[in-house]
Amino acid sequence: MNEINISSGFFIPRENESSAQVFKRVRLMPLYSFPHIRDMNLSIGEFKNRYFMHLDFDAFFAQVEQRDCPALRGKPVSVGGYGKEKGIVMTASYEARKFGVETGMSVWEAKKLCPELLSVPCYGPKYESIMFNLLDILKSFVPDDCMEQYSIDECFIDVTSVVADFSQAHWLALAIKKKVKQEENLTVSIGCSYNKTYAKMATKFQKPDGLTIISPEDRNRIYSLPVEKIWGVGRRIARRLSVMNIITVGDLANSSVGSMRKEFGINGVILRKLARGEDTSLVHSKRPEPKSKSISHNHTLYENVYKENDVIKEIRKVCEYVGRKLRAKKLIAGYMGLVIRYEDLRYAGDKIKLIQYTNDDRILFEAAMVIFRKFPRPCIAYRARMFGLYTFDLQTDLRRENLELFDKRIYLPYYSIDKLKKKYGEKIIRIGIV
Amino acid sequence: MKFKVLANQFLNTINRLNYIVPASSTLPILTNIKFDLKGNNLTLQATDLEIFMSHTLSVNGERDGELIAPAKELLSLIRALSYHSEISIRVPDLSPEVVPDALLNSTVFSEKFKCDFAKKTILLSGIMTEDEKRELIELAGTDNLKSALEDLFEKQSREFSKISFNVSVDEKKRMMLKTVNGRYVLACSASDDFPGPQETDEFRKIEFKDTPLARYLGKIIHTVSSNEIKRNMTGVLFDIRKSELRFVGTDGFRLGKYTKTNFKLKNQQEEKFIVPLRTCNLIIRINKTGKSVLEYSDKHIKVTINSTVLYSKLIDERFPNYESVIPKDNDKKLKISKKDLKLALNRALVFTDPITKKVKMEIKNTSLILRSDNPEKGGESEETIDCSFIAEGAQEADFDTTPFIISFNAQYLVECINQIDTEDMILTFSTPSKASIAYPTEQAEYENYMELVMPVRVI
Repeated sequence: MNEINISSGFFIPRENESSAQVFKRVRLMPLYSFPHIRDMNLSIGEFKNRYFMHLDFDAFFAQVEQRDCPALRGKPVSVGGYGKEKGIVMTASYEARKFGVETGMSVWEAKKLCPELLSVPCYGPKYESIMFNLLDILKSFVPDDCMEQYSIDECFIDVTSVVADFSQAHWLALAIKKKVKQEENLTVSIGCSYNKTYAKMATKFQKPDGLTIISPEDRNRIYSLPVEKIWGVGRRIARRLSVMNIITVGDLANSSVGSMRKEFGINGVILRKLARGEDTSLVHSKRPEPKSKSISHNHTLYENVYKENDVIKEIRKVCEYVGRKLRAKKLIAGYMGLVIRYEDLRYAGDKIKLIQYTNDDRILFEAAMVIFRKFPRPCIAYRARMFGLYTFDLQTDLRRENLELFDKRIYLPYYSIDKLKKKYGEKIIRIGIV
Repeated sequence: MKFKVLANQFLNTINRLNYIVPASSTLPILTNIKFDLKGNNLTLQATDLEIFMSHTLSVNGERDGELIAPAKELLSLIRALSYHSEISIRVPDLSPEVVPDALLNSTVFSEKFKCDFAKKTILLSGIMTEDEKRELIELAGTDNLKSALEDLFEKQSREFSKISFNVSVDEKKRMMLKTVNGRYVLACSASDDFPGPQETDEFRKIEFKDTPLARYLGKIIHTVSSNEIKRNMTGVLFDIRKSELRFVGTDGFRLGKYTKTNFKLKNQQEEKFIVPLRTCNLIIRINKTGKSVLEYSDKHIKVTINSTVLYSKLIDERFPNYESVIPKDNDKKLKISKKDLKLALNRALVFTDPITKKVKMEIKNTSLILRSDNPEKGGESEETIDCSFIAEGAQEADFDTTPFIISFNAQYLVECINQIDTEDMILTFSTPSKASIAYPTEQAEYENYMELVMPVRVI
C-alpha cells in the first residue's frame, strides 16, 4: 500500500489562470496573513451587527486522498514528498496527528514517530479544483463579492447580507456544511463571529467537522487563548510578547497602545486591535494582481545529475518553463540569470543582459548556456542538484521584434504552441532540434 | 627623481591616463600611475591589464628615477591647483558679431575660454599653451581679438611660476610637489611590480598620415555591441586587404562598414582582427588630429598617436561572416533629405514603444509617411516628408497606389544618419523583412561608408 503512484510529472504552469493565485497566496501567506492598516476602517471602533464566517477544510489534502482512496480511510496518512522516505509532510490526517506527526516534518522523521504512516504524493491541481468547487457551492448562499479565498483550504465569507443575527448564522453554517458533505463528501470546520480575526480563531475551537460561534458576549473564550493563536503572531513575536508579560489574547487586548507601538511599530498596534475584536477589515473578493517584477523558476532534482547532456536538458527545461510563464503573462524580459546549486549545497549564479527583450525559449537557453560555461562544470564527484532561472526588467510583449542579421532563427508561433499544449497535453507538440 | 613640469601638460597627461585607471580593482597596484624619468623625458604609464597606455612628456629633468603614484589623488590635486589660474581680459568692442564662428567652435576655445558679451570680457580658465595661442590667433578675425589673446598669454606667463610644479622624490618614495605658495606630499611606492605591456617583435605596421584613425572608427563605433553574450561582436573588425582597409562593426541588428580605398599593403599578409570597443573609444578620444601608427600582432595591437602609445589585447573570437549578409539585390532606392528625416524621426521617437522603438515607413513615389505608436500608453504620431522613391528593374512600380511599407528602430536610423556627411542620403530596400542599406549620396574621397539596418517585424 505504501506505493501509491500518482505521477504529477513536471508541473504545468498556469500563470494566466485565476487558480494560479491560490498557490501564490499559500506561498505569500506571511505577507497577507493578517490585515494591513490600509484595509482597516479606522473611523469605526469595531463592527456591530456584521457577521463573518471562516471555512477551513479539515486536514485538507489528507482528507481528499482518503476520500478518493478507500484503502486510506481510517489510517494515518501524510501527503507530500516523493517515494518512500524523501520530502516533507504537507498535511497529516487526524489519525496521524495523534502520533505527533506535524506539517513541515520530513517524511523520514514522521515515519519514526508513526511507523504505519502512509505517505502519498501531493497533487496540487486536484486540491485546487476542489477549492473552486467549494467556492461555487458557496455562491448559492452568498453573493459573489462576499467571498475571499484566503489560502488553498480556507476562505472567508461575509454573510451580513443574508443573516440578521447569530442564530440565523448558525443555521446557515449548518446548511453549508451539509451541502459540502453532499456535493464533495468532505468535512469543513466553520467559525463565525463579528469580525474576521475572531471568525478565524473560532474555527480552531472545534475540529474536525466543527462549528463555533463567537458573539461579542463570548469574547472571554477568545481572551483565554494563548497569544500564538492570533494570526500574525508566531514563535518569535510570542517570545517577545511573553517578555512584556503578555501570555494570552486577553493580556494583549488589555496591553497599552504605547508599549506595543514602541516594541512592534504599527504592527503592534494592529495586533492589539485584532485581539480586542476591533478588526474592521472586509473580505477582499478580488485583489488586483500586482505587476510582476521578475519571473523565475527553480527546479530541484530527485537525483543529482552530472552528465553534460543531462545538465543541458535540465537547463533547457527551466528555460522552457520560464519562457512559458513569461508568455502566459504576455511579458518580455531584458535580463536573465541562472543559478545552479551543487550537491555540497553551494550556489553558482550570474546574470546577463539579453540581446533583445524576449520571451523566446531559444534565446533564453542560449544566454543561459553563456552563463553556464562560466560555472564550475558538474562532474561525477560534484553533481548539480538544483537549476534556477530568473528573468527581470519585464515589459509588456507588444509582439514586435527587431530582426537579426546573423541569427536566421525560424520564427516559432510560441503562443499557439502554448495553447495547443494547454488543450491537448504537454506531449502534443515538441520543438525538434535539427 | 626630480623634475619641473608645466601644469597644463601634466594635467592633460594624467587626465588622459585616468581613462583607463580602474576605479577599484582586485589588484590595487593598478590604481597607480607609473612615472619614469630619463633625462628630459618623463614617461607616464597606466594599465588595467587589458589596455596599456603610456605618454611621454618633455620636462626639465634633474635626477632620473622610477616610481608609482596613486592616480586619483594626483589627479584631484593637480586639477585643484590648475583652477587657481583664471584670468580675464577686457575687449572694448566684444560682441557676438566680432568673434568668428571658427574660433568659437574650435575645441581649445570652447574648452578653456568664455566670452562674457555683457561685461565685454574674455575669461580664460585653465592654461593656454604657446601652440594653442598660435592656433587661436590664426582663427581670430579682428586685430583687437588677436591682441587680446596675446595679452592673455602674457598675463598668464607672468603667473607662470605658479602653475609649473617642482616635483621631487626622496628616498622614502614620497613625491613632493612644490608651487610658489604650497608644498604637497604624496605617498608613493616602488614601481617594480607594475605590469607592463608584452613587447613582441612580430608587430606589423600601418601608418595613417592624412586622416586620423579616429575618423574611421568614429563612423562605425555606434554599431558595435556591448553585450557579452555575443563576444565576437564587442569590437571593431580591422579587415586589412591588399588594396583596401575595412573597418566593420555590428551588434546583430545593424552593421557599419567603412572602407578606405587609397591603401596598399607592402609585403604583408591580408589579416583580420577584432579590436575591443573600449580601445576604439580611447583611440577616438585621443586621436583628434595628427597622424597615427597602427602596429599589430596576432594577439595585440599597438597604436602610437603623437607621444601617446596604446597597447591593447585583441578579442580572440571569430567575427561573423559580414560579407554574406550584405544584400546585393536591393532594388528599391529612396533618396531623402538627411536633416528632414532626422528631425522627423526625433519627433516620432517620442511616441514609440520603449523597446523596439518601431517607426513605420510608408513610402510612395514622392512622399514618405512616418508613423509611430505606443500601444501600451496610447500615443501616436504621423508625419509626411518629401522624397524620391524608385524601383530599379524591368517594370516601373507604382508606389502611389501600393506603397512600400517597412518598419525600423528609429534610434538605429538616427544614429546612422548622424554619420552621413552629405545633405541627402540614400536608403535601399528589397522586402520588408530584409536588411536595408543606408549610404551618403556622395562618398568622400577614397572612402566608402555604408550601414545596414535590420527592420522591425510585427509578429
